[in-house]
Amino acid sequence: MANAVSTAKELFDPAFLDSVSRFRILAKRVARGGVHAEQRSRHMGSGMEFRDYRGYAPGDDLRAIDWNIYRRLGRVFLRLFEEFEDLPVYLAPDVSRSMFHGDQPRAHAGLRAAFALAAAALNHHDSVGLFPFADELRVALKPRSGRVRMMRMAEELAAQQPGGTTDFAKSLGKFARLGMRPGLLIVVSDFFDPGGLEAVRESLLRQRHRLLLVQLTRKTDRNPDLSGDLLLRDCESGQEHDVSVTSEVVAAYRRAYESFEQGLHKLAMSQQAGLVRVDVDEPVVPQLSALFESGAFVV
Amino acid sequence: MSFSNLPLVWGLLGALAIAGILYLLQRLRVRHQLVEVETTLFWQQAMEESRARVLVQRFRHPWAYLLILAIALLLWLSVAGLRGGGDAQRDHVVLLDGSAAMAIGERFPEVVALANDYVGALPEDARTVVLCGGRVRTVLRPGEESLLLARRLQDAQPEASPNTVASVLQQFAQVRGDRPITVCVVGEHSLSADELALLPESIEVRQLKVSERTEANAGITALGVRPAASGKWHNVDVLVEVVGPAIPDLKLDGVAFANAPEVSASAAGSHYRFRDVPAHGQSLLAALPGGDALVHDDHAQFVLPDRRPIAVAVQAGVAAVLRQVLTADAGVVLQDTVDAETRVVIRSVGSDFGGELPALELSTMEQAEDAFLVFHPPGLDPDQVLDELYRGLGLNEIDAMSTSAALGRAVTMGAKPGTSKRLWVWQKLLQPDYDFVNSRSFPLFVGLSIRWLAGFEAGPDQIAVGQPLSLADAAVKHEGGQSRAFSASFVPGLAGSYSMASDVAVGNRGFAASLLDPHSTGVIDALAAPLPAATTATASGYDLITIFLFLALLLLGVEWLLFRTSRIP
Repeated sequence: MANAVSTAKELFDPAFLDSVSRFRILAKRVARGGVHAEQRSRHMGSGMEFRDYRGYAPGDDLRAIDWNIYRRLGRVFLRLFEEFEDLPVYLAPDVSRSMFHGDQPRAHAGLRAAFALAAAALNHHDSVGLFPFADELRVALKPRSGRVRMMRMAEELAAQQPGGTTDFAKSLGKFARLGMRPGLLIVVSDFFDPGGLEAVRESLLRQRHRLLLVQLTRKTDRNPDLSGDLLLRDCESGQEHDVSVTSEVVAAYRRAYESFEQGLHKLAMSQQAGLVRVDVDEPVVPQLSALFESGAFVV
Repeated sequence: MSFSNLPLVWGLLGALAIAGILYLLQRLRVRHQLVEVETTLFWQQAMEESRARVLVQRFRHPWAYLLILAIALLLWLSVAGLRGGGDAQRDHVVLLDGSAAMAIGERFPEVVALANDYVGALPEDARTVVLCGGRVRTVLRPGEESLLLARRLQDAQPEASPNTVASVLQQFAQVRGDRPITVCVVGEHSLSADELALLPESIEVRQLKVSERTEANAGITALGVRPAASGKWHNVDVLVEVVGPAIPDLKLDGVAFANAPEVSASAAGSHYRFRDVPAHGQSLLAALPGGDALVHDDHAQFVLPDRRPIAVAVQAGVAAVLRQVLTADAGVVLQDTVDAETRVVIRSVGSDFGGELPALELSTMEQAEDAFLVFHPPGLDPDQVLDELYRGLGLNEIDAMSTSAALGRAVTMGAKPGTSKRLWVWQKLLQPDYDFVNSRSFPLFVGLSIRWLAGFEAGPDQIAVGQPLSLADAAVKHEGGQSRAFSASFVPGLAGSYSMASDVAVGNRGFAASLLDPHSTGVIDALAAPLPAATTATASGYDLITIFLFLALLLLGVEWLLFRTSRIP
């Protein structure tokens, strides 16, 4: 079992936090039921910004009746105000063994990316929950808001240990069954599910949340630096395959990988989900900046 | 094409084995290098996609296989010593002349040197070297190292024998059949144009000549013995033929024969006739003063027949007609009593006169079915004895028909084994009433019978090396220690004395053979046909080993380059 790849101090680096301070996740509308925050809510409540009128119904708050209109029209209307609540952000980092493989594991970049997005949410009073998954999904941190959660989030992320085999269907299926308040589900993964892209698609279709997919890649995913007669062992399943790496086989591999990437892109498009590819061998923050080019990532 | 270090079949089999081994190695399951990857998902898909080309996968890297096969075969062909050239498919037989003529000067060392040079360039699996002396010996067999030839010829010397190249070549022609052979005669040859024409077309004869003889040489080319012209039974006349100006001396058991010879000359040489040489089994040696080019022909020897008179004891009162005939025979001495000198007795059947000595016995017609009954030593075939003695005793000369008519009984001859040699004759035949004793064949019969009983045989009048000698089955031993059994005909291969291991032979005492070869002495055979010269370049072809090694090195470089650039695994 490999150890965690990052310490909390590495993740909670002030410079790193400073670099992500301009990130903002903006929801068009958040579901009601949250706490007061900065996201525009579907709920018309007792906010400061007037939004609309509607007719009185028994049980309504009498303080919201616009008496001036009643005086002029003789009918009772209520004044509706914009409600601002938080956006629940559910971080689901992949902690399967493939994420911790090698000298430069993907998990390092993946957890930094997750923490950057978590920080962006916490900075704007959104609640953030942590649900790491591999062959099982675990509730590491329940969704809570507040900047004070940042340290806890960093420690929790840094404490992640390699799990088992990637199983999107089981893990994200469990998450769907939790009945969480609709929000933003951020999946940080290499998406190397033994069931293939179909298993990923099935698991994502079940979600009631908006999706942001962070795909962790590296250059050798597309152009493997392998040659000769090899016995390839899958680091998760332990399955072994004799492969004589010839130019023909490499070409076939490349076709298979490109098909996978295209499939993931189509899946994101069909789900109106965000998709960002992060090269794990490059700095994470600049790559995430693409999401926030317009000032905020709107979901 | 041929292989100089290996037989052709082995060379080809080795090449096939290399190709097969490399093929099997290519088919062996590769021990893959273990690499742990994050996922094998895409590799599985890639392998699934590539699996359709099963043939390519099962026999992987055909170009790499061909490359390594080419390198391995080039190295193998270098080891096997592949050679090219027109004579590659031919066998090569090298006949070294080891006859007496090669003993002149430095000719034999020259022959050995020529042979070594020539053989060294021939393919090892297809060359045979035979030393043709008095004894024909194969000194290098196919497949043996050429270096062995020099070692085996280190102590070889020319032998006192005539040239045997022609006979050896004929034997090769019979044994090898239609197989193509290049025969190289190193030395002199004695093949006539007719003999060459009789050889199969598959045999090509060439020659490596040695230097011509330049030294003067005199030698004995013939030594013969015949009954003395004077009619003296116990003497013989000896004829010595000499080429050159030398005069032969004659010695009998080491004692010089004083009589001067009669001399005559012919185209073949000078003839020296020594008359009335007493013959009682001595060793005769004719010798020329030494010091010329060839010593082997400076002497000749012969074992004289034993022509001393045969002592015959005659029993008193037995056939006076026999006594009369024997008295007139110069080769017989009559005795009335038996003593130590007595070799044959004449007596009546049943008499103990002379004991077990060979006997001519007179029988009655009742005692013997046959008029002439021979008792021969046990172990001989009676029919063969009858056949030989019918003529050997002169019985073919008598008028058996008239004698039978006069006797009223058939005159027949029989043979049976006995403890000693005896000859029974009907006493009645010796009576004057019948034609037998009056016939001219009677003294012949008596004389031959006494000589057969005494064990006298005339024997050959000349024994030369290389000339067949008619003898009964026997075994002979040369003075040099070589022993050899033969059947009916014996060809002495070396000059010198031969002792007999069998009772039935020339005078029971052995014999001596001499070179007596005009060709060796220097009378060149004018019939010898010229032969094309053998050259080592033609026989050896060209050497491909260097080219193969260079190509193998080049291909190794190509393979290294391809490997470095990951073109091949």
